[in-house]
Amino acid sequence: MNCELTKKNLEEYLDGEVSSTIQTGIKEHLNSCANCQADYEELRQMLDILKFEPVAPPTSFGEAWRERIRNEAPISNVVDLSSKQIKASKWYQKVPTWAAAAVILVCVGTFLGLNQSIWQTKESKSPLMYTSIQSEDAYEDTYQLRIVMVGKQSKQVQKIIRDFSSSHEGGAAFTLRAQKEETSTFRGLTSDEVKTLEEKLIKAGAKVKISKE
Amino acid sequence: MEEQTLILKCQSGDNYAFEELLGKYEKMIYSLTYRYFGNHDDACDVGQEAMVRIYRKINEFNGNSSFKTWLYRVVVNLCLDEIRRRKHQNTSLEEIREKGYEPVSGELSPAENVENSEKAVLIQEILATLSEEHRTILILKEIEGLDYNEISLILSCNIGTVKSRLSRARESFRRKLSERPRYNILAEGRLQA
Repeated sequence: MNCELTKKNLEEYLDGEVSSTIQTGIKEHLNSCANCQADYEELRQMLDILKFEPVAPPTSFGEAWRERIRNEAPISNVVDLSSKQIKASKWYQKVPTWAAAAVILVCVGTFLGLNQSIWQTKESKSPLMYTSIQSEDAYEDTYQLRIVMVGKQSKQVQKIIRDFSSSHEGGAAFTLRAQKEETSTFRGLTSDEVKTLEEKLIKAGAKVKISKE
Repeated sequence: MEEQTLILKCQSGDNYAFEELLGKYEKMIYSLTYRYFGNHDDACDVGQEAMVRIYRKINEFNGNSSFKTWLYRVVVNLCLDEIRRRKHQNTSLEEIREKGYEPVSGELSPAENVENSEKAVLIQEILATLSEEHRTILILKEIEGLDYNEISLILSCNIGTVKSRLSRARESFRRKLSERPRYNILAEGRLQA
């Protein structure tokens, strides 16, 4: 190791961010070079001045922030509203003019009494939609499970959703699609069903939110 | 309870889980806000705001980084927002100085406390004169003791940028420090010890 390389790597050496080979090389060079040793000492002293222990908060701080949190709206409400607003605004911002014009034409067409079934089929391809698999009347005192985030293993999560949707007879599943994001909500689940589904989804890396209906 | 479980519970709306989870990071958050603002009153106020912001954003944490890194990012951004807001409101440096900097006294001897408080005042004064960018990177590296990789994740930049920014920030700090007569006293005191 020479003076030039030592000077170049001195800060990283002091930060412990160099490889063991460079570390050994610099150490040996510092022992034999008075100039580099002086540079090293100057830098080390300056960094020593900056070093401080973390500041302990007063006990009142812990009480104060907890009190603030208790007065905040529940997390689920806050997040639900904001995330839907964000998704909606992004979707509207990205709709091209021709698509907006097409929507207007569809509305006018429907109003003029064109074939209902054709327009229902087209509507199901819109980027933001709710698809009811079964009637909402089918569920009673039950739970709702919403997949907040699919996570990295999205294929596995999708498979769980598909499998569960096909076997789940007592409730309804709603799918909300907004651009690439997909959130599924299962409704009308019994406590056993919700527990099983939650376990599988969390294992697959998804994040879920459960609430009583 | 494991952190991952606590986070999931928080995201499901469990406030007790939130208090337990953030209780573990309370000291870190307070310490960070304290280094930005230099007094207990502001550190308490901004620290509380940080907790509320984390609470409101907890569902945005998606596990792409560690929870600690994500927390740092939220709190650093909040501190910078607050600094900008105050600048916008024309809060003068004189006002901050009038409000005063409260050095921290721990389990130290009276002599150590004097030196520590001198040092604390000096550092805080210099930090306050640095740019937001330099102040932030020095707080994260020198005071919080984070490594290059953690800093790059918090500031959303690459490691090369962290190295060069840190080097410039240190140089700027060193220059300002050498202009202060008190620096020489501190340096001499330390060398004698």
